[in-house]
Amino acid sequence: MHQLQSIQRQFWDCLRNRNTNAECLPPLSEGGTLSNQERLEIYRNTMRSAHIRALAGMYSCSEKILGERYFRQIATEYYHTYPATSQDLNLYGESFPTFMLDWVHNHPELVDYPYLPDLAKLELAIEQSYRAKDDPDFDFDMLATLDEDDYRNICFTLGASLSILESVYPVYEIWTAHQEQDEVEVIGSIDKPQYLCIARENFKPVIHQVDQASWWVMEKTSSCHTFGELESLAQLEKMDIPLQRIIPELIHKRWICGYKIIARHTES
Amino acid sequence: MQSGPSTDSEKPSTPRIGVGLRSAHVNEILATQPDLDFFELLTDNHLNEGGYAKQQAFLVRQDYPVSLHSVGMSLGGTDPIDFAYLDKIKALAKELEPVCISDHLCWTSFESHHAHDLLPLPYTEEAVHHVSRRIRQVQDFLETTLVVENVSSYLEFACSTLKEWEFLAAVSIESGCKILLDLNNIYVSQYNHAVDAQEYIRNIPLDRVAEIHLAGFEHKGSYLLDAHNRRVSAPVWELYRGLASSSTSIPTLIEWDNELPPFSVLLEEAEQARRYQQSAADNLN
Repeated sequence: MHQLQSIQRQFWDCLRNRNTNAECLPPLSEGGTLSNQERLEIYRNTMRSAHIRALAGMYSCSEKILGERYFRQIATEYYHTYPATSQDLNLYGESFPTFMLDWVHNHPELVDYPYLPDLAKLELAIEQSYRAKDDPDFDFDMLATLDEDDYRNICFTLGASLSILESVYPVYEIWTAHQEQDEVEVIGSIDKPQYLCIARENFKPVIHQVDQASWWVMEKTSSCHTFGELESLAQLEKMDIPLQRIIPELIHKRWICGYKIIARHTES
Repeated sequence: MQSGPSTDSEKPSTPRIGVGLRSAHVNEILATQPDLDFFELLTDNHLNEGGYAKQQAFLVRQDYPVSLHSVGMSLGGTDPIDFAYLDKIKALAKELEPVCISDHLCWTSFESHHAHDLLPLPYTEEAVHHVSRRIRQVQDFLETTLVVENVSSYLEFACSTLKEWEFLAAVSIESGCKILLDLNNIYVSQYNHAVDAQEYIRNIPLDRVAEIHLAGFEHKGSYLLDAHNRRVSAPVWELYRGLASSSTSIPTLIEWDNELPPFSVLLEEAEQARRYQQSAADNLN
């Protein structure tokens, strides 16, 4: 194992460190028409291409807007910064929205594309929704057995395929505009935040624009605030949140799929 | 779950000709019920706890046997075995009851980072023992005989003391695993390393071969790339024809991963494999 581990470490370091050349490889057999550098580049290219293809698949709308060549440049930098940590290549690219935030900030040529990090968040949410586990049916019978105190301590559970996203940019329209056509359309800015919910319906992720109050409830629920805490927080933040309407709606849409009782109280 | 595909005499109903299942083809497969004996699933794409990909796998499984083919076990790796990953494979296998579970004779991760490529091993006695020990651990955990595939490669390590086929056979014997013989990979190695493909195949213990893979390579000028993006090449069909004449009972799979064609193209390739198998069987009779 000692020699094997040493060979793998040398080979791996050589594959990942683009500033090195074939001299860093473990000794190779002679023969054939390829140089050692060419042999190394075959592996480097195959590995890099697999990761970039995965990113282009997950962030296809971003790629359309940026152009294949520029997207590839960004994806290459991402690949060198973030090695894959899962056997499932479909999961690669989880940190790409954060990476895009830095990239847009540091590249003046993207000054007119400030929405790209939020668009990447939306594309990630769609992919995660597609692959999320299936949710159980909401247990209304069990809910009916709870007493009033229990209700205040309920923390509702959002569906596994559900994500919420808030953006000051019209990312929903931008995303939609790039689904059927290759030409990039100019999208005008909007003057209020956009509240989105991405959830799976019949195995297909669907993007919904929701009102601020519903978004607020889902955002607080995802942070595991109880029903009682939601009421208190709404008062504290001076928000008009009709919980009695919103909670049943979210359950009906299957965006809330369960609940648990949290043993704490919100009253001050 | 079966312990790998059985031979003809053990189980006459063993699937013979299959193709790799790709999401874009599933609706057509379900609608047309093509004349195929099994589908191979890329295990790593179906390990989620839910979603469309998993649903598709179950729908296809209702009509066909399936095999599970993964790339993430890193059987030749030096990281600890990822039992959480194996646990997901085991759970999937419990649900799908595959005819076999396979992975590759290579390493794919280092210090918990994944290459998503099949990286070459040195062909040494040390590596034989190391890989065999890990395969045994995986087999014990999965409670099945693993089927292990030879990979294509673009370099060879100077410290190798065994030929690739000697290495493959030695690992199979020491670990008890079966062999998934990829003829395209052998042909790619023949071109890239001046390996004699016929000698390679002659020296493989065919009684240990549980499955054959056929795929297309891409000619890159000075080397061949195992690209899985085109039809099986004529020289690889020739290798298959020769092998089929020695053993007509080995399940054979058409692989196509990139630049996916219409499903009818895969069916044509599968039919070609079936014709070679049938022709060999007729000659034996």
